[in-house]
Amino acid sequence: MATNKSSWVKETERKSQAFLIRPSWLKQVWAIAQKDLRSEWRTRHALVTTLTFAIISLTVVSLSVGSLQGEPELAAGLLWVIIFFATIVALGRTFTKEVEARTENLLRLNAEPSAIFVGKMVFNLALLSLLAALTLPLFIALMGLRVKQTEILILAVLSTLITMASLGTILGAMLSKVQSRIALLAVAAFPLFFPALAAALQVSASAFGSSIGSVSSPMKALSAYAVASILGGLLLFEEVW
Amino acid sequence: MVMLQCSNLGKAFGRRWLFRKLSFTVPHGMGLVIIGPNGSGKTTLLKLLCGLLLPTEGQVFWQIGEIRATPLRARMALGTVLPDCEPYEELTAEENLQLVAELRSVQPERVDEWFERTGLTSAKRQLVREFSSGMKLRLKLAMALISEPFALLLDEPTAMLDEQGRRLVSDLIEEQKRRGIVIIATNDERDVVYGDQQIVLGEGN
Repeated sequence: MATNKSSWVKETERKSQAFLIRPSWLKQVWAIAQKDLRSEWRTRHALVTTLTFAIISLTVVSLSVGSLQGEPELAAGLLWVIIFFATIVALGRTFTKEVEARTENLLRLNAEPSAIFVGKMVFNLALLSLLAALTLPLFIALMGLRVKQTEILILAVLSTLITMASLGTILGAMLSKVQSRIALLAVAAFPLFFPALAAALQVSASAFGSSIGSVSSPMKALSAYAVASILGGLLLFEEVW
Repeated sequence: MVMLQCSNLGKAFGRRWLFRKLSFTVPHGMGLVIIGPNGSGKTTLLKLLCGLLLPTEGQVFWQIGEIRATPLRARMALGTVLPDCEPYEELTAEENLQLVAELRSVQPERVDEWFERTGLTSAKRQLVREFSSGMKLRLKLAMALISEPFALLLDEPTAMLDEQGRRLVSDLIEEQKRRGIVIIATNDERDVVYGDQQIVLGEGN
């Protein structure tokens, strides 16, 4: 058969328009996210390891540095160190569990790559949001902090988690078949997460009472980076997984 | 009507060719059996046909188009049972089948219908990790067939099945032939009867 498409192929392609009904993309996204949430609820692998890491780090930090009232920059730094490493622990398993259980081809054969990416990202975001919802109030209480701009802090945390979830999903897919993937994920994630972390640090410090200036620019940068990371993930996912 | 046409198909891993210059067509209503010893490339050939792997040389034309041009459309339009395409063990059989039904936009009522067809109705609320190998294979068949694909690709479809299970596979294959085509990779001589044509791998191809 020649490289150019034969008339037979053209004819069959034309017929195929009626042959195949394209499944709803959003339905696929929700089915994948729901499957992961259900599966996580039954096994609690990522949840237990992530929360244990976060709580142990929080306890150690609070015992060693005590109250951080009056030191908003240091408090913001410690908060994001804890969230960053807890996130790495959580994101490392997203695709690894599919490879280990030999279920990855089930997804490949039945879903669009972009739907797999967004479905996994939604699951990761749900996991990270739960982590933040438990860690953040505990951190504020243990460090004796007073939050001056609650809405700004929540917005900054949410934007950063969206960035981490989308970039972490792509990295998790790329590294799913590599040994020592957690260590590699931390190394690969840091430069990618850095712009978001730097902006989040600034906004969080301001929310904890620092007078480092306006949060408008870092907030805009955080939002733009979150959108860019989702678009990048959608474009790249099919190539990396 | 020709539903699958492969020309000069070859797959190499590094410098080692598993097979080269394979050409065949499968018309509607036919069964193709791929036989050969372990490591001859039977599963790899199935993966090339369903788009999970791309050929090193040659082309795979499905009725819906060339596999490189439409790998996703091809995958979604086929039913595939492969050894490394397992159901989720921490989910129930029903949740697994519902997942595939949702991903392929199949009506939810079909789920119960397929449990009945595969004899798994009484076990549908059991976690898959509690399933025997034979029950898992039945579930994988239901997952592959729930969307009534035009082609069914099976790797060792009767391994681990009892006599009743073998009869079920035989019925499903005959039914699939009426709808489209069946391609079976097997080591089991008893499965050869399902094929109207054969490809023997590992004989210098």
